[in-house]
Amino acid sequence: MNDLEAQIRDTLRRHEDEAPLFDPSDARNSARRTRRRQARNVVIGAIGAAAVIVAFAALGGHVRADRSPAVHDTPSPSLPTPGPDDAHVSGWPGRTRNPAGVYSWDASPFSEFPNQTVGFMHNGYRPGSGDVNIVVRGAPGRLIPHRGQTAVTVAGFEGSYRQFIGENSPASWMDGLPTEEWMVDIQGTTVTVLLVEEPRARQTELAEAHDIIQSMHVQPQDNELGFRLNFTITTNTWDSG
Amino acid sequence: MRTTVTTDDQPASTLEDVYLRHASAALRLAYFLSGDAETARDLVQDAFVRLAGRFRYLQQPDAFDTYLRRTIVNLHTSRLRRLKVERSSLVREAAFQVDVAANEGHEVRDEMWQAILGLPPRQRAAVVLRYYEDLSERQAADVLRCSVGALNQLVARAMASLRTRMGEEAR
Repeated sequence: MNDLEAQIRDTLRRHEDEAPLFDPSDARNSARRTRRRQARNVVIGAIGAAAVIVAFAALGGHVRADRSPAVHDTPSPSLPTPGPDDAHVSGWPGRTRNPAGVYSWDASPFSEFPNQTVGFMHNGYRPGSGDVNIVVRGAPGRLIPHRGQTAVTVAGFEGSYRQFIGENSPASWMDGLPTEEWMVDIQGTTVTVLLVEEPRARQTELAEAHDIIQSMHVQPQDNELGFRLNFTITTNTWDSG
Repeated sequence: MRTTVTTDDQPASTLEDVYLRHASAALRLAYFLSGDAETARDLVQDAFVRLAGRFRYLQQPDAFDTYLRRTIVNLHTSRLRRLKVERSSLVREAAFQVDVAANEGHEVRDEMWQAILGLPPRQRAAVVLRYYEDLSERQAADVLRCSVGALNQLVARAMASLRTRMGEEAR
């Protein structure tokens, strides 16, 4: 072991006393709290799933008729817009397990993170947790230059696309990760969609993420953007936690 | 074959047993990753909530500590992402400040500790797993879900950053 390694080890050992202690007598309470939170997540998920099922059942064949086939073995940079399915639209997915359904981003702050307007979610409830990440961002009324060279259609609008490796800087969580980026100007706002791939992300996970992005479409809204960006999640494995 | 988590070949453990066995180490790991006691508690609680529902589906119950470590690392990285994604979209170079802000209020006793806390999350995790948890390269790579080569790259970059940082401090 070299000096630096020894110094790191010593430093960490010296600071281990500052870590919070676990009181063994609290094990039962901790287990109860965990079970309660788990049960709450299950109930919330079940209610949400039931609501979505009812909504889809109510829409019936109309939805199926409007949907274009969405699954592609090879991800395509083009993003055709499917028929809108905007009867029951939730906001951005929450921190815990979210039921399948239609969600949206509208550049407004999130209730759980009042300082955030940037949407972040990943498939955290897949085995392995969080192999693919989707980020949506844009400031209302702000147009920025596009970085992609490939012309694509995003949410029904002409946009651009590029693939790159996350910048190699200590400031970036995308450091070294393969990333796809779609940029599109919608009603005076540049919306950027990022798909960031973790090591060992599987093709099926990437295909699911592409389907989500592919499902994006615009619904007019009375908000700062003048619209919201709706998208469909078909599994209950996504969260923003 | 899928089985429930076992302790020392005993029948299926209760969640309470699992807490007793793993919580202390989990809290230390979470603390070294986050540099903040409250955040560490939240991370560990969240990790247990996530894993509690999956006990019976874990393919390798004996590797529960690996699942737990992996979940804590993922949750911590996600948490930083949420902060960084927001900051970086508003102020391009501000992401690193999030790390610093996350550690405000923490008593920094020495330069090396500060330097470790300043590492990017995956590099910090790699360093903690290798030099505090004493995991082998393969075990640490499993937790971070990367190849051994990628792990070594993370460690090498972390060591280079620490060496540079400590060199600068010494000047």
